[in-house]
Amino acid sequence: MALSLILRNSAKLRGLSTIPRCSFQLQKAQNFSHLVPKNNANAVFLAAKCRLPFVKIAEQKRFMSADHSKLWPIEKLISLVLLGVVPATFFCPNKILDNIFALAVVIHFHWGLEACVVDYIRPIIVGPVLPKIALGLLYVISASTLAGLIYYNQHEIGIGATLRKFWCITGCPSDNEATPQ
Amino acid sequence: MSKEMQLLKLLRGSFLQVRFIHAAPASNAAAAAAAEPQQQKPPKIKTVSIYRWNPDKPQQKPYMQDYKVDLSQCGPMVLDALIKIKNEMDPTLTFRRSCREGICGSCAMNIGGVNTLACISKIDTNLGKKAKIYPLPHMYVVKDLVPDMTNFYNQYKSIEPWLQRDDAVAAKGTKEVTQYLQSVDDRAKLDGLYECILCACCSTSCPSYWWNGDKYLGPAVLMQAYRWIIDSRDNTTAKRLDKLRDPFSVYRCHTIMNCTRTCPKSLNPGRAIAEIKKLLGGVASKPKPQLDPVALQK
Repeated sequence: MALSLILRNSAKLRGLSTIPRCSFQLQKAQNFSHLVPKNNANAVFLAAKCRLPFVKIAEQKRFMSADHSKLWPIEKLISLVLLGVVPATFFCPNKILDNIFALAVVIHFHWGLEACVVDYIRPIIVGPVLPKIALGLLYVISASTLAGLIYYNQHEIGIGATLRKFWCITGCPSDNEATPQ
Repeated sequence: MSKEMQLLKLLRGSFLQVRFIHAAPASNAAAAAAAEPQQQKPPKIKTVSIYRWNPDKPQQKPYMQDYKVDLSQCGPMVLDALIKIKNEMDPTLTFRRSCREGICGSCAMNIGGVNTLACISKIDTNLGKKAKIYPLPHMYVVKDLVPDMTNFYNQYKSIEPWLQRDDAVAAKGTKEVTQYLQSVDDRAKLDGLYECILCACCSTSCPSYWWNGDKYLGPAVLMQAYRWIIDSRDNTTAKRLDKLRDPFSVYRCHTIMNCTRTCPKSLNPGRAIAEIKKLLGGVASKPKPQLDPVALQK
């Protein structure tokens, strides 16, 4: 009994004052690199390079400069607008609706893909440079898609009319010729 | 008198019947107790496969260890099986547990692919199937089934989970801040939020939390953030919301809703996050308190 009490309190007996500070330091400095096998040095290197100590992250200042709260209602609004614009473009194709369709769809896709890029191409996995390249590439793809679609709307028959053309496809070529343009 | 005696004689049969019905459970139990030593329950051997990893042997990769548990000699819950294994087969098996009734949240783990509390999830009695038990997914493992919750707790700390008021003044003549008033309807808004036991089942089931657990707060913490945002007695709502405006704290939620599906307390963190998004986006606003919280101090 006495032995177990002594053992249990041995930490206290050694000096009360040092204990809280020591444990605090331990918690602060705790990073898990010693748990990663040595042959996985690449991951450790990347983690160090990105300066992401896992434990203190919750305390760090989050990205206060960026305000996503204005963008969120716009995202939802565009999702709602698409519900109306997609059938409208299909049923009465015209240039204005075609352009609204192109813009709304491209922005909608862009935000979705941006979430994928941010979620899956993370600095902790692939290093600090690749995520930026990926995001830049996404902007290039989205912009060129939008430009292409608007060019198509202006110089060709437009998105709505193109969609309607799917219904003109029949098995028999003579039917195709009979269908008025 | 004689008439009453006759009546008694007539009803004697039914009285006896009533007595027999009342005595039946007791006699049955006694008979069962007497019979027990003779006929043992047939053993029902269930294989339980448990994730093992020992920090003292960092070179050894994590592995699954199988244990054979006789369900007829074991309680119905997964925690009973774990305790039985630790007591009788392998004392090195490490896991957290405390209340064994689903109120402390210590024994949160991944059982059969679902994050839940070991103490309130029944063992699948299908003996042909292995029961697979893992620690909470995508958390650093301290040992076996014990995950490292430091980041989770730090995130909880970062939302300042306590009642805050700018005008907390002591009532006249005393040094103590008197109680704050809250109407029954305002209190009802906290139902479904305050019951959270912070077991981290929801956060660790969320893919967004897996990928961005460093910056995304996760459903459990966000539900508690909403619990303090919507509390009618707390008037630091604007400050609390401002902390969440960045693209990561809240907006990594893609409404996957794993959190709501897995919650062992049947709460709805997904809805709480949606409410936060509405408040942040200006689509909704916090209603005025029905009772002035500091009316007693004025």
